[in-house]
Amino acid sequence: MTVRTRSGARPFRLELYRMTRRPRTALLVLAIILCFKGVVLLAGGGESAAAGRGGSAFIYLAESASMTLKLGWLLLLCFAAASVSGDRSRGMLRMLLARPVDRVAFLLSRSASLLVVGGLILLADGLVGTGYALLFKSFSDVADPALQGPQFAASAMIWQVVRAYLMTYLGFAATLSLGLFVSTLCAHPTPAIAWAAGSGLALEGLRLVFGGDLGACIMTGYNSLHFERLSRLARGIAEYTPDGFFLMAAAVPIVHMLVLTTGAIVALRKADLVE
Amino acid sequence: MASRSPDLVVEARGLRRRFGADEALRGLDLIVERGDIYGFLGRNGAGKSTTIRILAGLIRADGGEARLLGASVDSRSSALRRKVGFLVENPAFYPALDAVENLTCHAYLQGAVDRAHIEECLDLVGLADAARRPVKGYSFGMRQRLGLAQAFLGDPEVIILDEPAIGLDPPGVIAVREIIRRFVRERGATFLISSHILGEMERLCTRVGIIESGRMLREGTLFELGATGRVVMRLSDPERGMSLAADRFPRSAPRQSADHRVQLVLDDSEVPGLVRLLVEAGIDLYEVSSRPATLEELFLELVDKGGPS
Repeated sequence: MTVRTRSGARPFRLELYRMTRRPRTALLVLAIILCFKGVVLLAGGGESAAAGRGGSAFIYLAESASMTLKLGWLLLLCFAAASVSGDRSRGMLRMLLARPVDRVAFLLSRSASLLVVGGLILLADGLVGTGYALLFKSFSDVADPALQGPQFAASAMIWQVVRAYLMTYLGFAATLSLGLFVSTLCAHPTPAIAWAAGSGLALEGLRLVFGGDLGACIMTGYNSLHFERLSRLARGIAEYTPDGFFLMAAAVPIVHMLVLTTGAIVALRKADLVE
Repeated sequence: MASRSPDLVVEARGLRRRFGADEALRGLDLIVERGDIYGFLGRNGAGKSTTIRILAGLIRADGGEARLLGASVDSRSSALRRKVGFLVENPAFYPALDAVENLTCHAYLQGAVDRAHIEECLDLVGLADAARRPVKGYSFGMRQRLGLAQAFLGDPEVIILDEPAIGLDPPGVIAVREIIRRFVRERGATFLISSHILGEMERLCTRVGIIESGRMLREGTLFELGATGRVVMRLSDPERGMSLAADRFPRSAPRQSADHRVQLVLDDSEVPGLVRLLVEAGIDLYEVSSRPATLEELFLELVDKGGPS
């Protein structure tokens, strides 16, 4: 039986097929994340000793996610950086692009498969974290009279957790766009990973220098930002941030993603595949 | 615009390409007609792979025009590319996937996945038994055959192969030749094959083009290229015979072989004149024979010595 695919959908079908046939790398990334999550979990999730076993699930979720997703962010950046450059150095890219395939569709499909990996990282982190929290922690309203801070209902906090994951996903999208952009400029994965990781760490340096919201704008992919905010909120030492702010903040990684993906497309379209 | 011959399958006119200071192609002209098995010959760095990469749309030409089946390669048209199969030098595959899975990946990009056709292509190149083994366990020759199978996917009208037999042992080279012949016999297709394995090209190709420093030196059928034959003589005084021949026939490039025979490049019509010249000079002739030039001899003349014009 012959299965026909429309021109623009062909590379997406290829990526889907490849991911299901060769899930090893994605599974390895997930395994690393889960192992790290386990270590964080055993170490108390970064939670202060005072909270201890049976403390707030929201603090645990926020702080453990903050730590785990720092690693996830770095892995995703390196994974994206090695994506196109790895295929190029192996000679796969010229084999694939000699086929009737549009380079833009090829790059977008690669981006989509990386987004799936990023989503899996967040999903794994969220499921493990929530599972542990459900077993050993309490999803109660936030109330900390000692600090005289504001109080929030558990239902409002759950939305804050979901929103933190969604915002982090957008940050991941910007992160993998950076990795993919660098990947299209390099002929080998090693310099691509070095450049991508260097760029990511440089952005993190800028975030530390500028701090606050300006820093957050610079470092769109820095996942821990939203969970750090969530942790402060759960401890009752931060103001509730309105959804409007997050809508504005969401625009930043989206713009970064569009700019970097366009850059990657231009770079790949102009690339001479002589390797 | 003037209409183009439907028989022109590959057409390059004045193709130019520069990599930094290095000029890889300097106005290359190349014509491959329908049904040809065209041998694209040249030494390393002559511009063969650059030409093929331009045709495959992997790099762009700085100048000139390249067409496949009448359409410009710059269009990168999907409809055009479905009719063309490519084997780029040193084909690469996903190592963890088996042959069927790797070809399925290519078939997705080709636009149609047909398991029976994939198995047929693998059978054609003799990989049916190894179809379910991961490619990382394949030998170099098996990868090369898999590269041929992916070029055959979709029954293309034109198949462009860059060094399909490079690095193969003699049985592997023979196997590749037989695969190409079988494909021509069973499917009918036009082949453009770059190589520097001259003996192989001589056995396989109907037309050849010899390229050097980014320019086409000679192009034609083996008969056309070999029209200037080789004359081999055994003389009583080889040195004086060579000197006389060089004076009378300046382009005959006389040289002495290891067994003291004198070899010259001459048209058959010039042989009686040469014999008369030598006899009149008092040189005894023990043997005179004439044969067509081999591709290797032609190649060496054209590429190494500048060759007859």
